[in-house]
Amino acid sequence: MTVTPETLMAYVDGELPPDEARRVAAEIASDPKLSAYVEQQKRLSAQLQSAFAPIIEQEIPARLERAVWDTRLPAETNFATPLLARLRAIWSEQTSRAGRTWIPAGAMAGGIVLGVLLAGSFGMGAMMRSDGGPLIAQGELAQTLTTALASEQNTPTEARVGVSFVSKDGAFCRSFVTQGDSRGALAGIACRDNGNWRITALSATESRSPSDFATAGADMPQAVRSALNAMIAGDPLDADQERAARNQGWRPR
Amino acid sequence: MKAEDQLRAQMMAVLPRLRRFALALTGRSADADDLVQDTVERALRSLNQFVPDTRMDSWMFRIAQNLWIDKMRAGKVRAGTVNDMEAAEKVSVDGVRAAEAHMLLKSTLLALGELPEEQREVVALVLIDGISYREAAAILDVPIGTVTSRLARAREALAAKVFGSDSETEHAL
Repeated sequence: MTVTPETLMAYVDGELPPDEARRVAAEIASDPKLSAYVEQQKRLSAQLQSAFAPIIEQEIPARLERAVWDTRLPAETNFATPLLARLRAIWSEQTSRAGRTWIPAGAMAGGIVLGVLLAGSFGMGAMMRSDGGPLIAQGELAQTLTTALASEQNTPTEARVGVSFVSKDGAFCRSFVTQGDSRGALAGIACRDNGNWRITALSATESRSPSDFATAGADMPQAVRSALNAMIAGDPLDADQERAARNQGWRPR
Repeated sequence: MKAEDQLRAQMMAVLPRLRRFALALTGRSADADDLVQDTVERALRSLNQFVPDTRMDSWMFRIAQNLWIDKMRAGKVRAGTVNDMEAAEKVSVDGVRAAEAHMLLKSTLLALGELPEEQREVVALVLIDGISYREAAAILDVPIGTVTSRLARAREALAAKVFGSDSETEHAL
């Protein structure tokens, strides 16, 4: 027999990938002992499910419905950034371990949850969003990334761009720093991706006074600088190249 | 709808399955609904810990399972055998069908009640609710291999109880 009991169980529970399921099904079909076992295990699942089926159809008891609608939420429940509590914990854990800079590994790998957490913890929800996939710049951050030139950032904004460069993937990328608040600010790198600015690196940094912020520019945390060095192809764009790239909507060359 | 009301509505939608899960864990309908109520209250009070866009059902199942373990450790409830008929009493359909449904649920709860707690959890999640091994592992906070080994033992024990000598075939494997 080439089918292990574990595989057989996974087959019954529908846990096998389609190819393997077909292979196992063929094996079962040709072995009466296996088919009897699978048949029995399927009957077991079916019986458990039908025994409990009436519970699903029952009306929800009034006291449970009341609990759902009437339980008071704690005053600090925050729906704009409901992650806040967890975030602060993660944040303080990460910063105590890694000093003041941190690029969430998840943000680089595509599992962006930590990046979102980090953004949320600094009240940056308005600047970034994630639909379960990559972290995308939005609002004033996206606006700044699309329109601002590093050398001409005279109007006060929530975010400033630093260095613009072409990544090894051929996309235009820009480092940025946010103004932040008393809890800190964010610095990171965003790359143009299908008309969006995808955040590929994100780090916490000290927030600056408005006058310092106006000159913050290319000054970036070590972690972001390392990420930039790993991503960059050639040299950063100079002022003319940056302007040309912006005027063409940051389309890859 | 306000964000808050959306979350409450999402929670309402989880309740039927949560009640079934709680009944499978506790074996008695009164205990089950107490557990569901505690779970709802705990969930709402710790809403800051819920990560939006993740599965609310898994989050609530996890809270329920943790609360149940706490209750058992505190000795407030007794896990295991069902020795009253209450569990199935509210399952009122009609006449003969009701009686049959009642008997089936009762005997199933008895069989579940004889399993060790850790096996009962896995059965409730995977066999009764149809949750994937991976999701069950996340809810129970154990490796996926632990889920499958517990499930294998539970399946064997349940088959022996439910099908009696039929299960000879399986021992032969």
